[in-house]
Amino acid sequence: MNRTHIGRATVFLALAIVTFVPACRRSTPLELRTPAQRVAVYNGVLAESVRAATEAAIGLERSGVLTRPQVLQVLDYTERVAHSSKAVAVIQQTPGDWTVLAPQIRTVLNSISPPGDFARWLGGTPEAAKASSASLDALQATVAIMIREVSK
Amino acid sequence: MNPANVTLILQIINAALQLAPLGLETTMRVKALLAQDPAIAENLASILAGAIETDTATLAVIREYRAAAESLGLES
Repeated sequence: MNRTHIGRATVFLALAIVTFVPACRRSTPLELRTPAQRVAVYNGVLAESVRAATEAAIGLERSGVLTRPQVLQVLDYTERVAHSSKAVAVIQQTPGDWTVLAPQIRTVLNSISPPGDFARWLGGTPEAAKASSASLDALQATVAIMIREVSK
Repeated sequence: MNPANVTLILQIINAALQLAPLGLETTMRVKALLAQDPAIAENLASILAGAIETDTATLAVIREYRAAAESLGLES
């Protein structure tokens, strides 16, 4: 493990502790929150992550790791996710019962087709592209969790 | 929070860190989101507005990149 990896692991561990220890100490556990609140938080995480994945892919083209056609393939997916994430937030801003809003959100989320083979194809390219591929997989996993929340 | 979801979010944070320095900024935003109590109505409204703002910015970046690619004749 080189110094960069150790540094990343240290920052990662510190962030994990800072983020989750206070949550564990709360008198009201997070699992008691409503599906609407959980979906809002996950969607916020999704929006930030898709922004990072988009800008990182463009950065990888500038640094010569990915070609422009490869980046355009990545952006096809991140664009679908960003559109859907925005639609989910707009739906959640609409006053209404969760039993009415949840099916609408589920329809939006189900319209996101997974990144598919190109994530694996990116996984076969250099290290930075593998990280990009992992972040795309994480995005799709977040979408899957949100679909579960609105299907309860 | 469900342990499986915590694992997933940690996976996202980890993936974001690998894309540093951009990832670090995102990680801090994700951390701020997770630290907010969504049971408080103002926080929930802020999370929703933040997601819309971020997605709008992301879509603008994508449009700009596509326009540049189109001008180079790389997109049909």
